Amino acid sequence: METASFALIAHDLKNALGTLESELEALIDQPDPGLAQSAYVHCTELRRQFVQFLTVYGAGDGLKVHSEDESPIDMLKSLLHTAALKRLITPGTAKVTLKDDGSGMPSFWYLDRRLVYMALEAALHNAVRFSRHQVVMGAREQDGYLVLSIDDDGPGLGAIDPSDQSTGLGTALCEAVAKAHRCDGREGRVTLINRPEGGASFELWLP
Amino acid sequence: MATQTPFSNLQALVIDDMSVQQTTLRGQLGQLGITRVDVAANAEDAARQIRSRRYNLILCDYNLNQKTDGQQLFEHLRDTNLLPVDCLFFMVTAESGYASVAAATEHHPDAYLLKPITASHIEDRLKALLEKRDVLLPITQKLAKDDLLGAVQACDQLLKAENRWMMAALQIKGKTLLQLGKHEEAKQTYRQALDKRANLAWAQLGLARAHKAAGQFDEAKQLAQDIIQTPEGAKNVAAYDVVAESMDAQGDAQGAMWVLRDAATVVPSSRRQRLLGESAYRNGDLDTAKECMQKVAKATKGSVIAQPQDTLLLAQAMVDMGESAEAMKVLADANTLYRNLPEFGSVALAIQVQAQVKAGTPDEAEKTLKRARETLRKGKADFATIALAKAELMAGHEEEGLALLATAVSSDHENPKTKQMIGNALRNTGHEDKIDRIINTASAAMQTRVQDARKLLRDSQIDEAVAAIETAVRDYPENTGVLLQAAQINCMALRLKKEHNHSMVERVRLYLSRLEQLLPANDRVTMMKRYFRETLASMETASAPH
Repeated sequence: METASFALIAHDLKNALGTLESELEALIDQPDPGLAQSAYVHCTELRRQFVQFLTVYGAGDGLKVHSEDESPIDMLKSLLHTAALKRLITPGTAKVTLKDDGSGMPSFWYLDRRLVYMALEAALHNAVRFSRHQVVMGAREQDGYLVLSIDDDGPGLGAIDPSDQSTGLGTALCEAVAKAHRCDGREGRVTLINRPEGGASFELWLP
Repeated sequence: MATQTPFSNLQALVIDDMSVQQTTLRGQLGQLGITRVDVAANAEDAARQIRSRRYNLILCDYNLNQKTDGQQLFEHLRDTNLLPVDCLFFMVTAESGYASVAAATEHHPDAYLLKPITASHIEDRLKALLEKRDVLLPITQKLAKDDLLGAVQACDQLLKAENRWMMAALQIKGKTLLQLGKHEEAKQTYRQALDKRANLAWAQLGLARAHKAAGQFDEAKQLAQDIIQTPEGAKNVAAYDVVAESMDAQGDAQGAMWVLRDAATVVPSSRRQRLLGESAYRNGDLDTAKECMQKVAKATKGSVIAQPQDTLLLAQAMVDMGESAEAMKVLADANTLYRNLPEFGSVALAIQVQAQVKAGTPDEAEKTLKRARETLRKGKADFATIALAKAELMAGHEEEGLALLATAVSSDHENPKTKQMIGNALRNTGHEDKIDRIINTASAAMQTRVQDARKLLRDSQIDEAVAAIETAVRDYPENTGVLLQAAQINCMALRLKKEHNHSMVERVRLYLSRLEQLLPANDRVTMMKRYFRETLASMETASAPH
């Protein structure tokens, strides 16, 4: 990882801390549950980014994966639940749903739930920021891989970040998590494409 | 009033040395509706609380800043059967330590929770594990009743659904089939799992164990080596154990020791050091034995996982090396701790005698020997008996010493590990010429008794055969070879007589449970249990109404 990227990440973390600081400052003068809630969300967000950072760059000899048989639908439902809670606090953001109500997903897959969850969380966070109305998550089995997908209806790839808070950290995390999943000589990967009907599609392929 | 949630009825224990963290975890459990929460600040308190109350959920910090870390505590609880089968154990750990802990463990907790922890993390894992527990309940209930065949059927029932819990069902099915002695079916089950997921560690290990159980030791070794050679399997100590056990079974005790040495290098836990130390001692590698036991003693000092046998073995190795003064010091230090334990006191005295002889104080030695003799009840095939025999021999009481060693052989005449130690004891006390006589004579005598009983059975003198083997069991109640034969002869008698003899059936049950204690997870015992089950089944068919 080049110094430039580190500087970029540090810069963004510093900005996020600054936001949190001013919120806390405001709370001193005017204790307000709404503002406290917002500060709390920002704090959680910031911590999430630190955990991501440490996951990608903190492990000296690469990410270690401990795969167990996990249920993809349970994992997606849990993400959905968190997203719904977030939406309560920040109204106006896109709604997250499950593709085909979750039918047709493999019943289990060997993966490191913590890492995959973290990667999906980052990808979902990204999709929600760009999306206009709706984000759709799905899971399917294809060519011996579990494919976890997140589709948004935003402007597509290459668009300028509306909230100006992209560090590339999320992408680095997703790629590291994908690569760390190996089975029988095959390796995981991440794909990002524009959907023909508009918007971007993120896919995490796990062997 | 607290909100009712699916978790409200859980009784939880939080083990953490930091009071802030205790409060946080307790609060998070409270958010999930778990209000019955006890707290322990260290491993000792935790062990005490777990003994006195039945917990459903334990959250334990890995780093307890004590003599005992979370993983050691967990293994101790498992080894001593303190954890109820339905108790969920969550290990709380910091990011950095996670990979190394997870890779190096023989027993895995139900879940690892990585700091920083939130209530929803706990909820997520709890929900999934409780669901798993409910789904597997038909299987675990059968297992709890020791109904292994019923458990396999319950696994098959679950496997039919081809759902989320397929792999869990396959894993239990394979393990249960191994316990049933059905190694060919176990192999099939593990291969089925490997078809679903290549290189699955538990399935590869199960396959290796199934080969070992079937007596295919070379294949078992190869399969286990294949695991060890993968990057993920390099620290799989269970695979090392399969290799070592296969080598032991093939008579290569020295080779087995080297494998245990490798295992103790990749996972330098007290438990692995202990295994290596014991093996090294049996193989006459005193330097290694001493080094290992010193590490164990140092690492477990003042902890619940400390064992008196560790100190005894260390002292014995030191005496054998001629370090009498050091040995005496080790024993004196431990004496304050273990004074009241009978399994410590008499053996410590026997080792003290040896040290006193070597230190050139024969009068002292004689006095100590008198006390040591008083405390040993009956000679067995164990470390204690051999230590006393050595004391007798070194103090010049040749007859007493040799007699004790002969008893030790007879007490378990097929046990290669005891024989190895007895051989060493004779060699080290200048009686190398008697090794053959003592070991072979005593074990041949037992062999003859067993064969006589079998011959009586072949000659259709069923009652006489049973009587003969029963006498042998009475004389040597912990002789595993005799117990196995007694179980078999009683089973054969039941089959030949085709009548349900209650006391005979109960006897076999007793022998098998004693064998389970003496030889845990032993392939021969497993096969004998299978034979017993088949005997009972055949009698039921025979006596069924027409």
